[in-house]
Amino acid sequence: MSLSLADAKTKVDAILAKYAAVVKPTSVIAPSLTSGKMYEAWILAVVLKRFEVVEGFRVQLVGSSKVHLKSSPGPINRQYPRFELLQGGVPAFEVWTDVEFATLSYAVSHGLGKPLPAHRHELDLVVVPVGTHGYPRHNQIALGVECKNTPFSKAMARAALGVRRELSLLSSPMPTPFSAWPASHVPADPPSVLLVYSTHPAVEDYNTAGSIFGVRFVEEPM
Amino acid sequence: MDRRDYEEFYRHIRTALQASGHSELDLRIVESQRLYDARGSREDVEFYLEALRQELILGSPGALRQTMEHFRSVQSPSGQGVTGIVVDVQEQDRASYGDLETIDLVGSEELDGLVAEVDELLARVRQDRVDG
Repeated sequence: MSLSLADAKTKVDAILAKYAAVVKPTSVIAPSLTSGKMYEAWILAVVLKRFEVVEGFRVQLVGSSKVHLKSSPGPINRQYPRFELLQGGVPAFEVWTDVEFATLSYAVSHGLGKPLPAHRHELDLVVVPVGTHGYPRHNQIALGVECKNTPFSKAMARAALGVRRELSLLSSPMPTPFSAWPASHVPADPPSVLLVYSTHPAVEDYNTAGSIFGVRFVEEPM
Repeated sequence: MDRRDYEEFYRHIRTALQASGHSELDLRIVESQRLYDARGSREDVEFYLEALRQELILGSPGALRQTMEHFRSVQSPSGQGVTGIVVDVQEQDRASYGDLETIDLVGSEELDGLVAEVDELLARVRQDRVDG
């Protein structure tokens, strides 16, 4: 049966009326915050599962029985819960959420003290060596992950390429600390892996450019 | 529905969402789908409804269940499993969140049902494309 305009309007009115009743516009917690954080949690779970299944790490949550995300990014605070990736029972890496790293340009300019905003950039997830604290240096990032729970725009791809530039220089393929996933080699020095996840299929269109610089764009719907 | 019907339907959805107090969501959908100059073709309606669906999914307990299922093999050093997901509200953000220190991501049961309703509407719109 074909759809009539009146029928379509009635259906959408009913959906939006229920939505407004469930998600109150007056709530102090913006729906965009919770949906964005839920997607970040989903990608965190996907990434940890891959490390477990493909790389053979045992994953351990330290400091809480709950997964903790942050409303805004900042330095690594070791009083916060984090995940550990264990190899042979020994922690090999830590996974932190909502972290700003100190950039390559900060290192090149011999920056000292707290990096200014221009010298730090956010990553939704980072994998770093055990014991890393404060603003991790660009060469401490083994894996950086960005999560976009919206259709993917070109501006987001540009931003990811900018983050890539502040993590590493373009180079011939170099070995990462991982055997297969997320990558065994990347064209970057230092050889950090950068993944950009989105719910939208268009994200993968940017792999033609991303593959040159070591950024992998991945569609991961829920 | 013909082209003019879809243009009217597109305007209707946007107006209804704005009128329900969710102008911010409408704007986010328009920005994310790059619908700034959209007149309301059938494809524009599809893009808009797909983005709305994604928003509903991420607020639903289904998303939380799916995520918690992935965390099932993760344990604390004492052997305890993952019991939930929270957002720690940083000090500089607390005024914006009613002085809350943490937000539990729990999801709303009703949104699971709404996702199914949007799916049904999207299927009708896509079927309409085949027929029309």
